[in-house]
Amino acid sequence: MWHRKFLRTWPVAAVALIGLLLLIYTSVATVSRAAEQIYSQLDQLNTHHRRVENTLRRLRSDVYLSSIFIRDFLLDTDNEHAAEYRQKLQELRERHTATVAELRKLLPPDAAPQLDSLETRLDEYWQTFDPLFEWSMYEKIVRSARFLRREVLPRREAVLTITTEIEHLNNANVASQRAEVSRRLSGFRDELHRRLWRALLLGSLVALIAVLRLRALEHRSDRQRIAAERAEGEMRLLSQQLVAAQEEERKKLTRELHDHVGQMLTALRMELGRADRARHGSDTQLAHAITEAKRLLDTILRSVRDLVMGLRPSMLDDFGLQPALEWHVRDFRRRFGIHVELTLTGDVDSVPDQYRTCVYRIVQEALTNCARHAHAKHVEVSLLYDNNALDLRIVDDGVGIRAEDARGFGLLGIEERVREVHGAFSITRRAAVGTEIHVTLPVTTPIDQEGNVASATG
Amino acid sequence: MLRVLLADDHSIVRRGMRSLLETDASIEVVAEAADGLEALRMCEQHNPDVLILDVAMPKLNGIEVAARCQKLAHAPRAIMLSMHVDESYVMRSLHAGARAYLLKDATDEDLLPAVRAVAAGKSFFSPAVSELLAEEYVQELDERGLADSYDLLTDREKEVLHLLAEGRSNKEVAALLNVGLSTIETHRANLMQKLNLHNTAEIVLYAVRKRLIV
Repeated sequence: MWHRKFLRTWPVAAVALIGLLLLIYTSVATVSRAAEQIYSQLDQLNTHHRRVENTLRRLRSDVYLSSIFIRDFLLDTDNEHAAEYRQKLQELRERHTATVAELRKLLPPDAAPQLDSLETRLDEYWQTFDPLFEWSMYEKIVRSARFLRREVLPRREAVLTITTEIEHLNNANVASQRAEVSRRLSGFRDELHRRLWRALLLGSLVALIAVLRLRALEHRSDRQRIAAERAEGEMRLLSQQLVAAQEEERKKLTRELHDHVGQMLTALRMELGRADRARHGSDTQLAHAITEAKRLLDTILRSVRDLVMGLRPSMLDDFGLQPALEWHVRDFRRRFGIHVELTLTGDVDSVPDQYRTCVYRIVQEALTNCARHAHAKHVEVSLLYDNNALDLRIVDDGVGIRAEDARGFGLLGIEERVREVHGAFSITRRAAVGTEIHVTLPVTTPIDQEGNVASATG
Repeated sequence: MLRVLLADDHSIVRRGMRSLLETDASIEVVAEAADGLEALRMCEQHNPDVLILDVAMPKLNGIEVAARCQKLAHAPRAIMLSMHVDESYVMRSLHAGARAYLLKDATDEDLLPAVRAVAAGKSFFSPAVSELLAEEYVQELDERGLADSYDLLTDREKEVLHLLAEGRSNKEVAALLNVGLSTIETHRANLMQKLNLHNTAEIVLYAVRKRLIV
């Protein structure tokens, strides 16, 4: 499964995350803009309402003021200030016109009928005053009270009524606009909620995808790890089987060489002796041939013996580990002239068979390395056995191992053998000179019999 | 008549040895055995004077057979046959009470002299074996820079060492040198201490290594 080309999810996750952030950002921006709008709208609304009210108040006060002027004018019997009043009234009238125009601008179009009516009433109101300035002294005294009561007051009331109506209209207008604003506010709140939900949804989606993906990846890496471990285990098993098979093959070959080839050669050697004894004394040619054949046979026998011992020393099976190691050390010394100090502690010969072979092969490999690569002059081999564990240490005074060689030179074989019996192996280049190989093997098999001494191979 | 028991798991080798032994009229091969247990049984049954044992035999190896036969009432003198020229085999054979150690490929030359030697109460080693052991001994002394402790012995001790190494008992040595048994025992103890030896087998091995006996 794991070798399938896997879909890349990180771009998708990145896009989703960026989308989420954008959504949050735009939401915040929109919200703040909308809030600003609503506040400024409310502000505008209030200002406008106040302005309309102020205008209306001014209009009303102007109306009252004009009626005061009129009364003052009518009470002024000598007509001395007539022109002045007229002037003032004229100014008020113009102000009224301006005020109405201002109201028209301030108020919405649907207030037009009221404004028209206000204008009409105002015109009527003002027109009422026009004839007054033609009046004589007498007329003023006689008619003023009646005129004021009959003409001015009703018209003034009419104007004031209209202004009240307009005020109500303004209030209603403000109320409706406030309602509109609060409607927009609630709409805005809904929008905010929607955006929030959308962001939450998208966020959860992104999180969900990320979690699922993470889980899938973790599963995948677990599977890969397990597969790798299994593969490594199989490899190890294979190489251990290889080592075991090699050992078995060596044993078989050794037996074959020793039991058949060796014995037959021995018998042949004796037959030659018999032939030598049986020949007639004078036949020097035959005597020479027999001597030559014996010499040849001796060489062959020696080769076979060396071969057998090289493959698997018979003492390992006949007597145990100690004699085998002692023999190997002696043989090694004879071959390479390297002195080996062998120290054995504990009942080494009672080491179970599998460990025996393992230790012997490790010493063999290590000594071969000392001779071939390390150019050592002196090697110390010490083995300690306490029925629970074997502790083997091989120290030489050679050139020291290089890091890149640590897996070559038969050391790999040592490692495999050690691993097969669940031991620990270490190789260190010593500070001054030489190399130290240290092996510890836990001995788990209970020792139930005294080695193999009594049951040697044939 | 010298009664001999032949034990080797290879009939072809047994046959060769038998025909060789039968060339001497004073030797009689009383039985043959093909494995260690059979050899032990035959030994009990026939009470041979000389045991010729292959070191490597099925069921029970030759060294073990030699050791067990030494415990019999009529202990035979054992000759070990081996493919191996090695100290540990020689040492163990001597420990087991064997008097001779032959290299199998030299059987043709060495078997009859060996049988005659052990019959006469002496030791015998194939020349190849004694040569190798001596060579190793010298090499070992060289490497360790040790002086040969042989020179520390007195002349009388050297004589005693020779005779003991040939396979003679303390009593025999005393008779041969015409001194008391306790004197020989003292000499023996002294030379063993000087040479750092612990038993008769080691005395014999030392003598072989020093080429005092062949």
